[in-house]
Amino acid sequence: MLFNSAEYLFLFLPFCLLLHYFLRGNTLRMAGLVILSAWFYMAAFPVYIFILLGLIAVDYVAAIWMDKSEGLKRKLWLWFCLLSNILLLASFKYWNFMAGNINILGCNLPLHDWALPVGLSFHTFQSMSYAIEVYRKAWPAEKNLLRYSLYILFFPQMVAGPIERPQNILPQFLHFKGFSLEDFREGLFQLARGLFMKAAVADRLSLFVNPIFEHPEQASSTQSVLAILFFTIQIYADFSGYSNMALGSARMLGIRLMVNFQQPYLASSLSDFWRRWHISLSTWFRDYLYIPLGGNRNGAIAASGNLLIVFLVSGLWHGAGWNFLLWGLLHGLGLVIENLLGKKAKEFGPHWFKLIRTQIWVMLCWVFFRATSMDNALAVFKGALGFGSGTLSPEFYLAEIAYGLALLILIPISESLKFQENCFRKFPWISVIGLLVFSYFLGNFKASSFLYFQF
Amino acid sequence: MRLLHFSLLLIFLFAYGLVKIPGAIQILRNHSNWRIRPFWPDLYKYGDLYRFSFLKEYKESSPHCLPPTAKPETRTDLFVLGDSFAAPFGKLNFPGVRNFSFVNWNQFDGFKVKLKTDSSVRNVLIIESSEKHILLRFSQGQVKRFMPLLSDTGKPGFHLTEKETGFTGTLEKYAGRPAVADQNLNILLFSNEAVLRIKETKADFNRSVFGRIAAEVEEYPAKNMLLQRMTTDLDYLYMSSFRPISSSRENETFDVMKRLQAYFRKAGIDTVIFACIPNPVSAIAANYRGRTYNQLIPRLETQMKASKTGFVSVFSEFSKLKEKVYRRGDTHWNDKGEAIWQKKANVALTGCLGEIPNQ
Repeated sequence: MLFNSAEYLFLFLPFCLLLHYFLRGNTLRMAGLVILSAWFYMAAFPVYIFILLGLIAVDYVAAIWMDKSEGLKRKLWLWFCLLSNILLLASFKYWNFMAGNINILGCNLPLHDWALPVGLSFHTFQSMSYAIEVYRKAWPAEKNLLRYSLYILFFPQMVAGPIERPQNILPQFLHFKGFSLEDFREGLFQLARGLFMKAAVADRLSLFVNPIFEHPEQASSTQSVLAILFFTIQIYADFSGYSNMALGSARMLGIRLMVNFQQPYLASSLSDFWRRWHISLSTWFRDYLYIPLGGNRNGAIAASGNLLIVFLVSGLWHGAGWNFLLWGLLHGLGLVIENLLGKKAKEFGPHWFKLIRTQIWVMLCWVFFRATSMDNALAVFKGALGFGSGTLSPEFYLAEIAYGLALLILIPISESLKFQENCFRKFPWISVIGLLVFSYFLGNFKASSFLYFQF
Repeated sequence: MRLLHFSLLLIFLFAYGLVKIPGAIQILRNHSNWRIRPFWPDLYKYGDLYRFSFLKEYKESSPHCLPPTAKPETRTDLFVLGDSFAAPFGKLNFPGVRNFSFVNWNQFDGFKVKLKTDSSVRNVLIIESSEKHILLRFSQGQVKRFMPLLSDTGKPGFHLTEKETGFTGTLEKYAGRPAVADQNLNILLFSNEAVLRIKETKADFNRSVFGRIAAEVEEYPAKNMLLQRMTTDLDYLYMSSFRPISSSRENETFDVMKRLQAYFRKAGIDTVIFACIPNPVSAIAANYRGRTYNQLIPRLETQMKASKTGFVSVFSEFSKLKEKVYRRGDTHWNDKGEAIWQKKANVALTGCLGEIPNQ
C-alpha cells in the first residue's frame, strides 16, 4: 500500500488512528498496530508476510539467547542473526545478479523469478541493528514478542525507513501517548508536505525525466542536462517525501521517528552531503560497518579502504546492478579524495562554490543510479555532451521547465527552519490545506510507487 | 464522545469492507434504491477516455441502440465470446434466438468457464474482439486459455464458477489488490458530479499551464475527439494500429482463429462467426500523424473470406462514417455504431436461424 494511494490516505490511516486512540491499554494498542501493520504489508505480496514473521521469530529468539550468553556463544548468536538476515536478503535480491555474472563465465546457475518483498533491505537492516545493539549490550533483548514485532512491522517505517534503532523506538512502544492535537497537527503537516513532494514534485518531474532516460540516444543536449538536473530533484523529493509521510503518519500516532533528510542539496562537501542524505542508512553504515572495520583509526590508507568498502556495500544495498556499484564507488572515491586533500581543499572557495562543486558530483552520480544499465548511463552522458540525435520530442513545455527550475530555489526555502516557523507555526491549518490543494492540482497521481520501494 | 468515536470506527470498518471485499460494491449497487444509488456511480458513464483525462469537452453519455423488432423464437441458441463492445447486448438484440449467453474474455482469468450446448438446436457462437486485443487474444500462447471446459449439466450457455485460488490466492483476494481498492474508493468517493468538476478543473489547468493531458489519451482536435494512446503509439507492440504486422504474424493470428473455431465446433457449436471491431483511429484516421495503418482487420477479413469463415464486418462502414459511429471521449462505438453492428450480426445470424442440424 502506497502512502500516496487513496486506500492509505482515506481509509487505512484514518482507521488506524481511530482504532489506536479507541483502544485502551498498551498491549491492546500494540496488538492493534501489529495487526494493522501486517495488513499494510500484505497489500503488496500477502504471502510474504510469513517470511517477515519468520524473520521476526528468529531474531526475537536469537536475541534473547544472545542476551543470556557471553563470549563466543554470544558472538555466535550475533552471527546467526546477521547471517539469517543477510541470507534472506541475498537470496531474494542478489542471487540473480551473482548467478547472472557467474554464468557469463560459462556456468549454468539457475535464476529465479521471485518478486522482491517490499522493503526487504530496510527491515533486514533494522533487524540487524537490533541484534548488534543487543550484542553490544547497548540495549537489552526485548522479551515482549508483540513489542519486538511492532519494532519491525511498524507500518510508517516498515517498507522504506527510516531504519530505526531500538533505543529510539522501543521505549516509545512501552507507553503509548494519548491523543495530542499538537502531534496530530504536526503529523498532518508532515504528511501533507510529503504528499506534495511526492505527487507535485517527484512524480510531476518524472513526466519529463522518464522519456529522456528511456531514449537517451534520441535526446538533445538541453533535454539530457535538464533530465539529469530534474532527476536530482525528483529522487530527493520522492524519498524525502516518503520519509515525511512516514514521520507524519507516526507522529499522528504519537510516535517520533528519526529525521532522515536535512537539506542535503545545501551540503558544501560530500561528507556533509552524507550527513544530510538518508541519515538513518548513513549512520547505520557508519556505526555497524565503517567503525567496526577500523574507521579512520589506522591511518589514511586504511580509512580510504574502509570508506570504499562502505560505499560499495551501500551501492549494492541500493540495487543489485553494476550501475549501483559504480554509483557507490564514485561516492566513495569522492570522499576518499576529499579526505586525502585535507581540510584546506575542502574549505577552498566561497560557500556557493563548494555547494555547486559538491552538487555537480552528486548529480553526475545520480545518472548511474537512475540508469537501467551502464550503457543507458553512458548514453545519457553522451546526450548531455551533444552526441544525441535530438529527435526525441517528449512533451517539452517551457512552463514545466520553469516549474522544475523554480523548485531548485523553492524547496530549500520551504525547508528552512525560519520559513517553517513563520509559515507553518503561525498558520498550521492553512499550510496543510494549501499543501493538499497544491498537491492535488500540480500532482501526478498516476506514477508508479516510491523509487526507494525497490530497495 | 466514546460512542461517537466507536461509530466512526464502525463507519470506516464498513467502508473498508466495501472496498476490499470483492463484489461488495456491485451487490450494494444492485440492491440499492434510487436515493442511495448515486453513491455508487458508473465510472464509465461519460466515456472511458474521459475517465482517464477528465477533459470536459469530451464528456458525454451515450445511450445504447434500440433492439430490433421481436421475431418468433426459433430453435437457435446464441453464444457470444466478446469484450466490452458486445457486453451490452442481450437476447433482445438478437430476436429469434431461444437462448443467449455471453462470456467476457476477461472472465477466463478469474473463473472456470464451462460450455453447455443443446444438440437438438442450432448453436451459433459469435467471437467478438476489439482490434487492439486481437494479436494478444489470438496468439499461440493464449489460445488454450479461451477454450472453455465442456459441461454435461445445466442449461445451455456459458457457466462460470470461481477458480479455486488456494491459500495464497485467498490472501491475495482479501488483503492484497491495492489497485482494486483504489478503484473501489474512486467509485465511492471521487466519482460524483461535484468531484468530477474539480477533476475537470485540474485537467484544464494542467493542459493550459503545462500542456499536459493524461498519458493514456491523445487529443485529435481535427475531429474533436480523444484517442487511446496505446492504439496510436508505435511503442505498443500488440495494440497499436500503426505498428507493422508481418505476414507470418498475420498467418499465426488467423491460424489461431481457425483453431478456436475448430475447438468450438467439436464442442457442439454449429456455426462460429468472428467479429473484429476496429480501433477508432483505424477507421477515422488511417494516416494519423503521418503513420500508416497496419490494415490488421482488412487483412484478417480477406483470409476469412478466402477460407469461407463466417464473420461480421463493420470496417468499411465505419471507415466511411468515421467519427459519426464512435463516442468522442470513449474507445467504444456510439449507438449508431452499435446499431450497425447489431444489424450486421443479425443478418449473419439469419442464415443460421431455424436451421436444425441433422434433421
